[in-house]
Amino acid sequence: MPGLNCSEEKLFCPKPDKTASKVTKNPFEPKFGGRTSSVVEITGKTGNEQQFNMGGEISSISANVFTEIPLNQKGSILFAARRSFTEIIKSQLYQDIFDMAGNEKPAAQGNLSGRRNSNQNAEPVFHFYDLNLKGTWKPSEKDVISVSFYAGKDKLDNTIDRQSTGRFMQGSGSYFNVNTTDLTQWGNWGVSAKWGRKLNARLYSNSVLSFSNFFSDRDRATTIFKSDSEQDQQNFGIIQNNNVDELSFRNDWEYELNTSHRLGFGVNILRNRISFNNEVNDSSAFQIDNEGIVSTAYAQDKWALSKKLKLIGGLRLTFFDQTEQFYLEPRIQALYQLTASLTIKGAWGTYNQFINRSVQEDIQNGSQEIWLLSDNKLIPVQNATHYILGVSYDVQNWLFDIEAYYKDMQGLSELNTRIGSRQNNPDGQQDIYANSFFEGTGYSKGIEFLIQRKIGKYTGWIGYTLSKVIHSFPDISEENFPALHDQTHELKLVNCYEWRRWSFAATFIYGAGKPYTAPEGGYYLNLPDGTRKYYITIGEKNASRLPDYNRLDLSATYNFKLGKAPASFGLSVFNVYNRSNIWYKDYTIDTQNEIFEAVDVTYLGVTPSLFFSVRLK
Amino acid sequence: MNALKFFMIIFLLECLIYSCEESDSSQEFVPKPVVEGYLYEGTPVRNLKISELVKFDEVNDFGEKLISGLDIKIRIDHAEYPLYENPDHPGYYGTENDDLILQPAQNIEFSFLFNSTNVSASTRVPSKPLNLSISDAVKYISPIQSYWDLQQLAEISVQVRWTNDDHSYYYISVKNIETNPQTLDPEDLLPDLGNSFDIPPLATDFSNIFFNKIQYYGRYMVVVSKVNAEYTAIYQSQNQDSRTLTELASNIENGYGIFTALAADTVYFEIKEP
Repeated sequence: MPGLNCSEEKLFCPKPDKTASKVTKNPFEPKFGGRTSSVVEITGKTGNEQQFNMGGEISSISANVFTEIPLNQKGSILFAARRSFTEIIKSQLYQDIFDMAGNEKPAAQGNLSGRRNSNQNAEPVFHFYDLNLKGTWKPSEKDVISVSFYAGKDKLDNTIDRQSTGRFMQGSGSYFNVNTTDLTQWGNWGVSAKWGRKLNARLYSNSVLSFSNFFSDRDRATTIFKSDSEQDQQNFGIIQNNNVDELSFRNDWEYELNTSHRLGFGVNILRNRISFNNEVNDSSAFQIDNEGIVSTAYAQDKWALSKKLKLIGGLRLTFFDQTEQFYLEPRIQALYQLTASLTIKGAWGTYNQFINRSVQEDIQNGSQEIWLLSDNKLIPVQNATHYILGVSYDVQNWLFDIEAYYKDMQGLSELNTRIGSRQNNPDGQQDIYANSFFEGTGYSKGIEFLIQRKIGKYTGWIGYTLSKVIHSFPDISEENFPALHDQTHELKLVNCYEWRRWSFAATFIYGAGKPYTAPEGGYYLNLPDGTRKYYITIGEKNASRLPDYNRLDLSATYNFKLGKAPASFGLSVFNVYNRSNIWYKDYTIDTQNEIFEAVDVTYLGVTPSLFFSVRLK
Repeated sequence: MNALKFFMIIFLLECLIYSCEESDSSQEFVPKPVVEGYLYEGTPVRNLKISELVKFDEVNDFGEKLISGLDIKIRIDHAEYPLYENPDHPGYYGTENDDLILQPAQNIEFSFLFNSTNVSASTRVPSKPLNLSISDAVKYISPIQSYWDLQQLAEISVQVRWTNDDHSYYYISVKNIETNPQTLDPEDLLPDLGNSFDIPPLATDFSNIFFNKIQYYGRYMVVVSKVNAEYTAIYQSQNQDSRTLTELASNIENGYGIFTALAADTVYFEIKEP
């Protein structure tokens, strides 16, 4: 599902007992498609059919509730809702508590003196909610019917207000005020109806009719007020809307031919409608609204050639009406069990993606990814070929896993008005955008290591990934450059320890800095008409790196019973050492090139939270 | 328990290593020269200004880092000459011999080494606008007494014409050349427009000079300059704002700025009271 996002990662990721979501990385089997890297399969937990249950948890930054209602032992209804209220972190009460604890005032508001180019920190305020509702009914022993609804929304407020005194080009003793209102909200909602039928002991089918919507809206407005020899106010801003609708019907079959073969086949027809609107400085600069139908049939076999060798292979054939072309995707995975503990695995496959995740370069406001429908004109169909080789060692309570991968990518897309505006002498902004879509290729490669302790009082895992993602867009840069999400090192340490009624958890996350394109320098130039202005130069594409990301989260939970109801309370601290992890760099440049503001927009700082939860069963 | 100890030791070590703050690993800043060179047909090479790009993080004051002591060579067609730094203005370079006058159709190229990198650019001296003429040598205008008069003024113009068979770009500069010009706006209805204005480069063979930009009586000088593509490019790319942060166009190899030649001719008109 495009844009599925866990705000601030671990804090509010879906809990497995509320929503069973499964991220399937490559190689995923031919049953799945439409993505070149991974798919998220959200099935949703089925409610308890035997007993009524309800519960909830409240903490100083979020709350959630759930209930499970049995339906005459033939079905159930499950409802779960969560809501964070991290916006109180920026409230005065919370800030007072922080100040008492010795934390400094957030830097989003402040004064500077004597500087034209300033560099500050700003921490956005955000909150989110989501709802899950699932009804399940079993009219017979062979049939299961379920209806699901999901909705979730994130809101982010990155408003920055600064007042500075300084010198401008022509004067002295002047001041300026830069106010940026930057509101972003994104989310998705979806509804689905599913009918599962077991025709006999060997044949199953699932039919799903669903509709989902993803949206991402940004409203950013900057006002610069300058008071010099005379007063001057400049207003500029952007409004962006990206909307992805998907109406889908899929019919999957699974047939156990014998103990060696499990066949799978099915069809999937989906209609995508995707719009992207980009208004700049109150003018409708660019609007794209595309609709396309993707029709797919697949067949696969999970084949046990011997006790040691298993193959999963198949074909996926897709027709995309926008390009009027067929796309064939052969895929195969092999698992060979060398010993009872040691398994070698390998995979190869091709994957196509018709909803292109394009990069929109925005040096000043942070580059981002947008979803656009491939149209055979501006937006290409993405394609990837994967090669994977790995080995896993599973012994007693431990799992050791190493996997190396290489991915060859075509049909990458980038919207880059910085380069596009050089392509011609446009009469209007629409022309700038028409010339600003670029097509590229790339590759990614890496090695993933995992050590996991699965059972016992102490559980946890260490995951480390060494990787490289390189893009090639000859019309943007003569040299290949690292992709926006290129992260050379990524390390996660997850530790859980049970002691009597206590549960302790410690998680450490480290990620090498991600690349970005930065202003490089500045210079004066006089024009023959007497104009003298300061101009900014831009560095090489994605040649700068943000500082490394790292943080430590700790929690302690005490489990007890309120009467017969299981309950717990505890303390969690997010980002224990209050690391200022930079999300992106924000640059403001006024229309007269006199003021340059650089702001480091950071992720959430140290966030302690007390929590209490209780459930009936 | 051994496993637990092992994990905890690694965990604490990682925390110690990575909890320290550090700055971004920005790309290595490579200083580059900025060239400002406007050559005029019929004059020698003067005031080729060379400054240094200022790192973005240090763009805090308005000073310029002019570069002195460069060994600059200029090639006019196939003959090479050294440029000398102006002792009164460090960072400005020109030919020693003022008899070295630039002629139409000459190819001009400069080069110098900066931090072991060759910096260069070339341009071609255009010819003056051919058959330059103006529609009216004198215009009679009454002083502005009302907003109705202002509307009338906006419709008055003079037209400058020239021959432009090859669709070259021409840039126009209009300036009042009186020492103490008399205002035609005694009621102060107009904002301060100054005594000069410009018309951006256009690939036409005429230009209408509308009087809504004019504030004074007296003689006006209209300079029509034939410009090259590099000048047009820089003029069209000069606005950097939030809409799209673009770099100023440049024809300097391994540097920034502009090196271009212009050729100008002048006509005059006068505004008088009836």
